[in-house]
Amino acid sequence: MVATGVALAMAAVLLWAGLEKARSLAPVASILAQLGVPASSARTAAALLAATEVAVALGLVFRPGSAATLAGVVGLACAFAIAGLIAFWRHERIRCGCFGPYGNATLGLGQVAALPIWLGGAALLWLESPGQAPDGLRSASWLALIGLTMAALRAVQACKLSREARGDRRSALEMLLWLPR
Amino acid sequence: MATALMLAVGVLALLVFLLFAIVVELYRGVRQLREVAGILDRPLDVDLGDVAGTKPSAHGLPAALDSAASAIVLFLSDRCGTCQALAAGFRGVLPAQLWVVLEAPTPRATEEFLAAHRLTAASAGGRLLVDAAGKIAERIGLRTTPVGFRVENGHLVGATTVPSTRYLSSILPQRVHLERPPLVQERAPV
Repeated sequence: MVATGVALAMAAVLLWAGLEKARSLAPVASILAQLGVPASSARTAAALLAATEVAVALGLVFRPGSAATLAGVVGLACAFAIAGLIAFWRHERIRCGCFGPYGNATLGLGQVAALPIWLGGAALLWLESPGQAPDGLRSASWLALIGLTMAALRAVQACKLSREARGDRRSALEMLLWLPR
Repeated sequence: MATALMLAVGVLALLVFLLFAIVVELYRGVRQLREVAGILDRPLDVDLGDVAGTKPSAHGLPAALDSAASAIVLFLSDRCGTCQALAAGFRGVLPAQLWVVLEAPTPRATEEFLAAHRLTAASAGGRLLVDAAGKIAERIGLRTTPVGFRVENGHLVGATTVPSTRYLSSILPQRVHLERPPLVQERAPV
C-alpha cells in the first residue's frame, strides 16, 4: 500500500510537471539554455525532458517496479539535482519552471535536497515489487484518479481567477460607461 | 472493456487538466493587461496610525458619526476619475449609512460636481459634506481619494481605497430586519 502511494505520488508530480512543460516549451528551453545547453538544441532538449517526465510518470502507474521506470526516476532526479547545483555554483537566479512557466521558485539546493527523496522512493518500489506489473484495470483506475485530481485542482484555480476577473471586468465597465459623459 | 473505459477517463481527465491550465493562463494574461491599464479592482488598506480608534468629530467630521453603530465615510475629489464614477453610481441618492466628504478646490467646482451627479442636501439625507479647503482631509492626513473610512461604535477603525462601486457596495454596512408575524389580539374570556 505504501509503495503504491509512493508510486502514485511520484507519478502525479512527474505527470503535472511534464504536461505543463509540454504545454509551454519556450520557457523550459530558456531555462535549459541558462544551464548551459546549446541554444540550438535547447528546444529539443526541453521537448525530450517533458516527454521523459510523462513517460516515467506513466511507467510509475503501469509498471512501477520495472527497471526502465526506476532508471527513469533516478535519471530525472539526478538531472534535477545537477541543474540545482549548477545554479547554486554559478550564484545565478535561474527560474525553476518545474511545474510550468508560473511561480517564482528558483533552481538551487532544493533540487539537491529532493534527490534522496526520489532515490528513496525508487528504492522502495524496487524492493516492494521488483519487475512486477500490476493489474491493468487497477493501473488504469489509478491513472484516472490522478488525472481527475489534477483536473480538479486546476479547476479550483480557474474558478478563483474567474471570480477575480469578473470583479475587474465589472469595475472596468463602470469606468467605461462613465468616461464618455 | 473496463480497463479501456478507465484509460479513456484518465486521458480525458488529463486533457481537461490541460484545458483548465490554458484558461488559467488566459485569465492571468487579462489581469496583466488590466494591471498595465490601471483598471484592477483591488482595494488597498490605508494605515490609520494614530487616527485609529479616534472619534470622527475630532477630525472635523459630523458629531452624528460619534454615535453611529456602523457607517462608511467616503472621501471623494472632483479631480479623481474613480470618484466621479462612484458618484455617478449613487444616481442622486446616497445609500444608507454612507457619508460622503467632497473635496473640491472652489465653490464652483463643488456646484458642478454635485449638479453633474444630482446630489443635493435633501437627496443626501444630510450625509454629504463639502470639505472646502481640504481641511478635514488634512487633519486626518489623507492624500489620496477615493478612500472609505469605516466607523464602528462611533470610532474610526479602518480604511481602504475604494476602486469601484461594486467594492463600495460590498463594504457598506447591511441592515438585517426582523420579520415578526402580526400581533394577534387576545380574546376576552367568556
